[in-house]
Amino acid sequence: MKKKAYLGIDIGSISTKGVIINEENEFLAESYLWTEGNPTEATRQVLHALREQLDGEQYQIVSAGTTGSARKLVGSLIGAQVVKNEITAHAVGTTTLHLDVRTILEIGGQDSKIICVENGVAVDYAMNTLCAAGTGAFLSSQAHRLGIQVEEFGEIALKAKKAAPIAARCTVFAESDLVQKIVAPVVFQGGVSKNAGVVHMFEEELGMPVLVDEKGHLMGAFGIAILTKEQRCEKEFSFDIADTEFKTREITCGKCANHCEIICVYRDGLLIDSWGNRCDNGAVRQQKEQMGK
Amino acid sequence: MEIKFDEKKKIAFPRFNHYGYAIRYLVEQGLGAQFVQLPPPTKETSELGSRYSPDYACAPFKHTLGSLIEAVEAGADVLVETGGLCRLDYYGALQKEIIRELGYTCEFVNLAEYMGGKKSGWLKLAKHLNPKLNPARLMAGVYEGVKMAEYLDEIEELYFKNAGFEAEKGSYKKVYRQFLLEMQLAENSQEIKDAYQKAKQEMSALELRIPGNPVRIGIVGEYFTVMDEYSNQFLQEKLVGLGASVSRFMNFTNCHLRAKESTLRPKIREYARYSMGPTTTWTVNSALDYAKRGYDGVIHVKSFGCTPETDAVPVLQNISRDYHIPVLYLSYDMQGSDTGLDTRLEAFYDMLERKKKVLR
Amino acid sequence: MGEIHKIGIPRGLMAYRDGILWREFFQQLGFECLVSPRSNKQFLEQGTARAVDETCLPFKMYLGHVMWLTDKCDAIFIPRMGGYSNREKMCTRFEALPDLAGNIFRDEQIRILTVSYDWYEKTTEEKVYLELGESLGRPRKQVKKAYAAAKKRQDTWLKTREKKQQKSLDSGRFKILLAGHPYVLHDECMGGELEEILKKLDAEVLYTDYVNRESALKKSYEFSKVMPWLISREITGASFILKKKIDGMILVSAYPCGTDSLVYDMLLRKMKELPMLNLTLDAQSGTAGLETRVESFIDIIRYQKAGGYGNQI
Repeated sequence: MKKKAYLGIDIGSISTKGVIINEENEFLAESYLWTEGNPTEATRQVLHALREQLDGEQYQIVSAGTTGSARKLVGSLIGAQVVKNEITAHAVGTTTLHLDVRTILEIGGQDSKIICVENGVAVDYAMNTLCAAGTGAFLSSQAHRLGIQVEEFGEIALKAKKAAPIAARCTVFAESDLVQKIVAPVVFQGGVSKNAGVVHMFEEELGMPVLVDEKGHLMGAFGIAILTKEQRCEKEFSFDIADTEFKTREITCGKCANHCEIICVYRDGLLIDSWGNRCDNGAVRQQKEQMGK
Repeated sequence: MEIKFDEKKKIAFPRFNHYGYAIRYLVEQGLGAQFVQLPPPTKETSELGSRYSPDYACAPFKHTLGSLIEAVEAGADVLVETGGLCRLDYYGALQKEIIRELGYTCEFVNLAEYMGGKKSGWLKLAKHLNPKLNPARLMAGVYEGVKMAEYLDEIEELYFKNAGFEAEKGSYKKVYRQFLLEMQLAENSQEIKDAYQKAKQEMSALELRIPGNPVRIGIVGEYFTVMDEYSNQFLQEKLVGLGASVSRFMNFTNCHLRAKESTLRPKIREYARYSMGPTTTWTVNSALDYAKRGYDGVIHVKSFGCTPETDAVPVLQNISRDYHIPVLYLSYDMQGSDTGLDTRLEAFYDMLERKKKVLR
Repeated sequence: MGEIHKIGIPRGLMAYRDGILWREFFQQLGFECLVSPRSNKQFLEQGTARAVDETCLPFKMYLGHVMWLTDKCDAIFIPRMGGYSNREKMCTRFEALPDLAGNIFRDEQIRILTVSYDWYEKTTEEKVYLELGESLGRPRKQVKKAYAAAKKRQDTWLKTREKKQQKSLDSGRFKILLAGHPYVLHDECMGGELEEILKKLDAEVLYTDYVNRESALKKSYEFSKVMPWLISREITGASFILKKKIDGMILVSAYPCGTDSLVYDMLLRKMKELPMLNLTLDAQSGTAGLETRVESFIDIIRYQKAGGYGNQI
């Protein structure tokens, strides 16, 4: 009999990450690539890459999970058993790899978070909500304006003699209460953790070492894979899903002045899911089902 | 010759959760005037309110202005705005001016002008709104309207406490909706009482599957936003949907009828010597109470820039530290996205649930 | 707790309105008084680090002043002001002030000295300060004398300002009225910068809080009977008194201000005949941006007066 494996996909605004783990939480396969505004295509690519790395003779994926901003969409596309927000996924992933971690800093494409951990479990968290200053999207656009690669940004920043002042009103780290809560050991992850300049600034500001895991960018995918494993709701997963035709369509519900944007997901031309409606009047899927009866 | 079908004045209030039903009862049964019952608010209500409000006005100002404009468009003769202990006290004066400048000619009653004033002033206002006023009927209407608000609070509390654990999905909501409908239609005290008792009985008869140690979340915060479902984007409904038991001390009954500021304050002595603002004592007291009673988390709700509630935050931070209870701070402006809120609430709930499992 | 010898007064918020009274009162009672120095960017930075994000700029600055005083005196005077009457209240932040500072600086354990009054208690300023003096262990007679002397000192200070403003009004120069809370208008890092800019533009600068308080308060009831705030009354009343004697008015607000957000909107609606600029200052506004906005506002008034471009001197 084949050994069990678990798939986790983290579809962020900037990048899409996928991992497959075994019963012992060891990485069997991993993939990381740009979302480029197309989560379905990115997921397809990630699945292809993972299929090539996985030893299909030895392992069978028995459950799948999704996280990140497009978790719902991709979750219904691949029929994931677990669909969870990225904050939980990151906390779970990081605490599994770093048992003694107390603070997780995570800066991704669109948001920054801080998660406080006690005894291996998240006890408090906060994230920026109003503004994306200082996040990956901001750094990419600044790099682009300066005509350099965002990957080079960190090295260049380290050479700076003076820090440039930037308005700090919206970033989560401006909130006093959280800074006080930062306790070592600190793990810093998310795409921005690859920027050596930011890591350096954190260490200087906090006055403590900041650990950047080489797999830090995969923590969300890793965490959701673990959650999937814990769930014990198994159903064989087939990579064939990567070759199926998916379509999404946005419709605006006109039944009241709310004008909800409803997302409809089709697999091979068949409506498999819809969401976005605030009330039952806009429940597309239910209505279709009823009409079918 | 002009035919007058009804000489009664059509009176409108801004929407405020389901309290509109109690106000309607008071206006129709007590005052003997007509009440303009608005449909549930939509995005358009918020857009209307935002468009004609000063940029930096708080969200409740914008929500209530949106309601009032919709009410006058729906044919209201008299718009009523209330007063309060914060910026709310000046809402009426400014909204009246804004509505005038928009060209509406309806009458505008600003209750801030009557609050803290003499009883005779209120009676004069009532007689103005209905010249054929029956004062005894008015007194009874006020009393029964208040009673209805109390019942609304009690059933709502029951709903959010248990709906997360209903054995049959939607069974609690069904009873709750029916109750709200009957409150809308009630025309005398007996009907109010009957509907209340029926709802209470039916709810307690419903089968619950309460897990061994459910996640319990306490909601605290600013008077309007914390109570008005539309303003807080159905926060409590979302939490119930995640499977939590949700409690909110702040409601009409607890704020105006039961707990007085001066009796609550000694309970929070460690944190505040004086009253820190209109409802800050309620906020701090209920957060502390939830912490002491072993709730798993607290959510603090306010509109962005709300001064008194912003000033409760440092106290809540201290309580959170002292009692190791996580507090999620939500600040609402008019552009809240549901997805953003869902993610934060789900993460908060997950965190509380996992923490329970591991730390027990 | 030890005996109090030296009392610290943070130079922020209502110190810009009543600070003279406070200092003189304590000094008359035989205490040493330490007022924190003029505001600077560092105070703001330090205060911001301790404040909740959404609190107003002047409050963040105030915390910076409190921090400067922490290890330099025995107690810090942080009054709790609710207002003395129903339609002359204070912003709710002033009701919270001592408890707010106490919670924010809990770890530092600062000793807070306060007075406390609410509009519904029907008390008076004199009563409140008599209680404070007596609670500090001074005999009633001495306290009464101290309050009278402090009040006199403050009156003299107010009269001087009124006279100074009268001189500006009598001058034939181009006049701009700065309207706002005293702690915004006169803080080095807020209104202070504005004054510099206007002087460079050769304008005579007037202030709403340089107008006689009693007359402004009285006049404000013509503007609104229901408006609940004392300082907003002094601002609007003074604007109404001066509106015919000035060329333009700048409504200065520090982000985010609850009372200004509504009252300024009403003022703009009710005083359409006067050129007005609604200016909101925040930590990021920076002098350059401010200059551009003020300069263009002044230009517009001057060109309009001259009847078009090219007609000016």
